[in-house]
Amino acid sequence: MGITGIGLKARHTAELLAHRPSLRFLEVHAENYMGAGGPAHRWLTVLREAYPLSIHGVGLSLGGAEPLDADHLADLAALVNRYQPELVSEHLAWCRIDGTYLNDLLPIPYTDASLSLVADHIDQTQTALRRHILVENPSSYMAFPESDWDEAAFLAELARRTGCGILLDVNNIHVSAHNIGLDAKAYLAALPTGAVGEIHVAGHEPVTHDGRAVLLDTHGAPVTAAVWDLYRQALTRFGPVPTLVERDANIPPLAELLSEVATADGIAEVLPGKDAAHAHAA
Amino acid sequence: MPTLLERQRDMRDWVLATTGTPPLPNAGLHRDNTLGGLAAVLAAGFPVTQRLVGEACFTGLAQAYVRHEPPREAPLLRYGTGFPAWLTGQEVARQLPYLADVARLEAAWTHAYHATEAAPLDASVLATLGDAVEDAVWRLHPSHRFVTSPWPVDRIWQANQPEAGDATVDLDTDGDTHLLVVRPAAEVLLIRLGPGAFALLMALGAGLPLGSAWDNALALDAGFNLEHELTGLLAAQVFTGVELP
Repeated sequence: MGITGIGLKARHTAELLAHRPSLRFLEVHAENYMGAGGPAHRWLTVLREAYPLSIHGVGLSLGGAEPLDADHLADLAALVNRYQPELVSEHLAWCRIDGTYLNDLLPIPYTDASLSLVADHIDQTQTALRRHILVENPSSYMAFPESDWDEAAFLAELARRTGCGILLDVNNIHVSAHNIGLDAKAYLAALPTGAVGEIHVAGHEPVTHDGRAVLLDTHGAPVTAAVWDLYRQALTRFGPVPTLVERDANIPPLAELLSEVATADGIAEVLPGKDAAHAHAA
Repeated sequence: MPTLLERQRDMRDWVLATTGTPPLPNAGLHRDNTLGGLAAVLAAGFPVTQRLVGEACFTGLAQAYVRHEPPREAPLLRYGTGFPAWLTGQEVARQLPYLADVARLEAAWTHAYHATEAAPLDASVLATLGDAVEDAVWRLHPSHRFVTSPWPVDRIWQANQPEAGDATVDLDTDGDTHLLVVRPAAEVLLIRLGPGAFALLMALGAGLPLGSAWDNALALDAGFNLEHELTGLLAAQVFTGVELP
């Protein structure tokens, strides 16, 4: 058993059930399972018996300036209660304002005020879910002039204040580093080693927007060499934490995703210090 | 500096507008992401509507609808419930008069797909009721929706499924369509009903006992055969219970 899982996609469901490939976990977007019934629940109920689950929310708007949507939080708590996932995560981002949902994960400025607000929202979520959650770093295209925290320090402080873990998306760090000038190495170094509970790796695509070269976080392409390199650095610092190969667009055949799973597991296998740790355990 | 609330309202206003100046460089990527993502959600929910108008036309319609009625809840499984009604006011719906009814059928399909589960009626219960069965209220499966149209929207829907090939539909026949859309198990069923069966199920759906519902059916179709219709509907598992009031 490696450390790597994949997102559950409808086109792979039958093959997963027939062949049960070795995967650390399956991840689903919480909102896709908020219908009362239907085939999605039927499949997930069966797959739940074969794999640990990770429930990954995209709609809670932890960074929203308005109070959390109480109905949505209750639905999330019911879903977590129903499926008892091993991992539950959400985003350091906002998507809801005045009751309107934008189908996006929008970044927030990192200020003392937004730190208190997001920490309160995480507290409220963890109370409703009766467990800790992981909070994921966003992919950024816009830098806010009013930010006076850097993102990694902001996340570290959220973890310290609320006890939440961090879902470290190394592709998002890579994309943000290119787009708004983060220092990826310094980012990893600024996060507390015990706080990272999951890692995402994903693909991105270069585009030109208003004359600027931008890396778009599309989850629609294979993971690049630069992101694998950053992943290796992250594992070296944070240890072999559960990892998701995240693919949400241009979904390839299952075999292609499994080969990326093998790549991630292979990187974890040859971590510096791993042999020493084994020898010690023996 | 703007507050967080001001930042987020500015961003929302700009994402949902068609013009204006981006509040920050690269904000356009978020506008494209929101509109593109929600248009894709609508395309996934209304694939036949999309096929009827073409992809480019549909994207334009979908983005206009998103600006008109953006989501009000985080799950997008139900997003687009208002899309068919909005579509009736668009120019393309005057050119394709069946378009909005096809969209209504697709919305009903999506509703049934995600609706709550319920165990089908155990037909052996009927034998125990004897003649009292006419006084009983028959519960329709909670996933059910009725769709009616002067156009053969079920034939149009079927002819535009990926596996249908180049089927054609004669718009001048098979009109006056009454459909029951229901998901008793894993598959959504589209059941074409005669006027009598439609009246029967509408009455049962409204909570009338079988005897009164039967009268409604006979009023619309003097040749209505209750036993024949119920046999078919029971086989399709569209009922979940029979209760004496």
